Amino acid sequence: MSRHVWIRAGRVALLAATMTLAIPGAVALFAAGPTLPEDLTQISMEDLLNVRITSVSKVPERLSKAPAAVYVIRQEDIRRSGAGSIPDLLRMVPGLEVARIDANKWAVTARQANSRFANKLLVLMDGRSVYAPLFSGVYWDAQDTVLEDIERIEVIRGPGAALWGANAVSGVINIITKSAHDTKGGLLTAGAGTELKTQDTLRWGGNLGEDADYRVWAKYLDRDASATAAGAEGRDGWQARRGGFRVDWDRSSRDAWTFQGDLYGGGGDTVLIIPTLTPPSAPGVLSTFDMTGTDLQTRWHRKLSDRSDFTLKLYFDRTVRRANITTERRDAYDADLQLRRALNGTHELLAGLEYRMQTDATLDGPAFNLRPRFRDDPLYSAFLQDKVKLDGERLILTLGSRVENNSYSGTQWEPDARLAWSPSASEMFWGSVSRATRTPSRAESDVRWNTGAIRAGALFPGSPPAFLRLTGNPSLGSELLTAYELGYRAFPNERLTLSASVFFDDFHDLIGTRLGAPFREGTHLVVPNLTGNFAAGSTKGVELSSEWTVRQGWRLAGSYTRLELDLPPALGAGTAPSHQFQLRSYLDVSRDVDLDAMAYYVGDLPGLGIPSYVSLDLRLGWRPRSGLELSLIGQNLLDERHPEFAAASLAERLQVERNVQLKATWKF
Amino acid sequence: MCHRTDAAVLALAVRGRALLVLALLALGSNAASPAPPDAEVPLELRLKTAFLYNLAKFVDWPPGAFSPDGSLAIGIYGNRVFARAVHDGLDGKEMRGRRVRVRELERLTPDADGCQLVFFDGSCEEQLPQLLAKLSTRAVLTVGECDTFLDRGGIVNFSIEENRIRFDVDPDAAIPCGLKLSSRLLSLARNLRRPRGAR
Repeated sequence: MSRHVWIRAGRVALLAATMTLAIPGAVALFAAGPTLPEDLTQISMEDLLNVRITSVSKVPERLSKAPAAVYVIRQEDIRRSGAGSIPDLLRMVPGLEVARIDANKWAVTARQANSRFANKLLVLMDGRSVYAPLFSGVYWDAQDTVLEDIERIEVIRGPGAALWGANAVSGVINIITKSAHDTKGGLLTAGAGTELKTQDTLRWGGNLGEDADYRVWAKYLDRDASATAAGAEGRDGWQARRGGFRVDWDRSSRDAWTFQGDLYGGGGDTVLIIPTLTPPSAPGVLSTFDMTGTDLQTRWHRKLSDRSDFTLKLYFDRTVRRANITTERRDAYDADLQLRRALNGTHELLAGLEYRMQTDATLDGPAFNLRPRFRDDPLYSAFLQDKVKLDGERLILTLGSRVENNSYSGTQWEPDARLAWSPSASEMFWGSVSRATRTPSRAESDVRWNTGAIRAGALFPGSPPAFLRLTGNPSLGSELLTAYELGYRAFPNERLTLSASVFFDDFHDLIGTRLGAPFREGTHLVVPNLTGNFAAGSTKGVELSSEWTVRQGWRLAGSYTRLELDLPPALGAGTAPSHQFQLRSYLDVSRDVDLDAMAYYVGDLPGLGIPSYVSLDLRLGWRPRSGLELSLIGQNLLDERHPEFAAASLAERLQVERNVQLKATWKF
Repeated sequence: MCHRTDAAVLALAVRGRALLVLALLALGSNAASPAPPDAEVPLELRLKTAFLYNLAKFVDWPPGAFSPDGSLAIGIYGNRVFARAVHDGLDGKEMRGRRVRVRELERLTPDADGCQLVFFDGSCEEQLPQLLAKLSTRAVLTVGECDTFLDRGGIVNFSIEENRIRFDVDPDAAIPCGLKLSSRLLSLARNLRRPRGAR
């Protein structure tokens, strides 16, 4: 009875192209490792006891009950997307705003004004924060790994500060790679395309003794420059080389250790605009950038009993980035302890302590400097969360708060309250009120940056030429958000999942700028653009998504995102699309052939002069023999090129071009 | 009520969203275009299926426990999708000279419909006392996946520990059934007659 209603609702939604969210319906219970035979009855009992099943089945269980707007990209979605980078993968997530600025820059955020340094989205790779404090944002060109070795990407829209800490304001992205237990054997991928010119990966995994497994990998990519509006070749091509390892060791039935590390280096061309006092006042300068990074991490998970466990995580992360504007070296040392304890079946406590020390060193650029040039910034943080079952599994209240102290804005509280009501096992209503903070960036605190030049005589008759100077403010406070969310999630039958969320985000103490009194500096004037917690604003929106298995071998996923920004113009009004639609189709043409498609509509960005666009990606996959897959991938097929975003003052405007690519994946 | 152990969580997961995958897989093995080889294969279920097959290898049933055609009948009580998966994995296989038959049990009659091995999935926990009482003296190997399974008279119980499937055995429960469990089976068990919750 209700099944028909749901299916009809699903069809209507599809026809209207307002498809709704796919909460990851099908749990990605795991594909067998390469060493397992198809027929498991042929292996001995001893060997069966040693077959490891990943805990992945438990995680979506947790997430499906999470009282938050959660979406999970599974490995199967990654494989079938044909995407060549992590931000491109994120395009499939309902409610996210993903735009390519040029070949090496992306703008990614949720529920917020977007920019290259969208500063309210926290991104973690295996628990390591890749949020860069210099400009508060993520250098997406530096974030990559073997896409085939990603287990899943969890995306939580809305604040997650109580659990994840400051800067998890409008969302958290957790990129989680597979355990080394699940990547035994070889993997070789080779790709060649018109825009993603080369992307080659080699990974090998094996045993290190009885209870430990390892993998090592290397990856090379070469991206072609994008195009200007007139079709000329842009100056933004780049290359990157990466490598890494991971060891997972089940030391005993209670202790599991993980050791992992990455190393990367890369760089390419970019265009900087460096204002000058003599015309032309803002010439584009062809420049280069390069980046290197190293990180090492250890995690120790110990089960104390069936009801309690802890995880200790230690990592070191060094990034060095050199561009004309500035050069920055940053080291982060992080220690994080999380304890979980279930009490008497009603309460589940989660507690955490974190200490992070960041040290940076910067060099002055021609128009940019930071004072002090070197900084050490400790962060202390603790949180406690209690999940209370008020009525069995039907009514669950989650209360938590984090308190943290950072060297920019001092001590702050980030409380969070969530209520989940599940009238039946297949549906859940949830609501939350939470507070999150965004720490001022290093630049907002300490920068002197000439962002523009003013002609002589333009300020007043006979005025000398002047620089417009963005001027940091070391006494800034954090930006504050109070967020209100309501959501609904349902699995009306085994073929359909539905999800809906609405939110209202109320911001205070947003960091903005105000012009200060001009002063003389040598022969010219400086008009300071002073930074302060000047602004307030709000955003609201609706996110709908659904996943529907039409028949065996054909799955559809769709979403609609509505977003309204009520922000001052200088704080990103008009930089996020008001409407986004998306429809994805995964079709198994035969046992060995799949045909996958993703169409998406992104509304215009009036604040940047970017028109709306519709884009289509297609992928044809063929497995001629076991272990080998050939894919033909087409991205942005509907037009030669289109603009998706415009960088701020950093670079010239470039457009995203059509990409056609051939990729071979060989598991051995 | 059981504690929410891995097995129970797994059972929930299996019953909930994994239904989709399982249904696809179950259909896939019969339909013209089965799921692609690299698709989401529920390894847990494949493993449990293989465990059921292996367990039966190490058990001697009393003479007369088998039906005249000599087949070994495995009954699955509970989740229909799991029953299909076990059916597809084992039905028709040969084991120690017997043909394996897999049946989905809708209702448990006192003679277990002639099954020699009955698996109860995590969803049948509440009915377990009645179900197991019917079988306690029959020549039926009872296999479950719930913390309280052995306490209630079951013989073998699966659980998941550190991402691996483990099983506990209550050898005493097999005696009134007339079953002989091989010492090899007992040596592979994690615990003898100790339910997981008591660790």
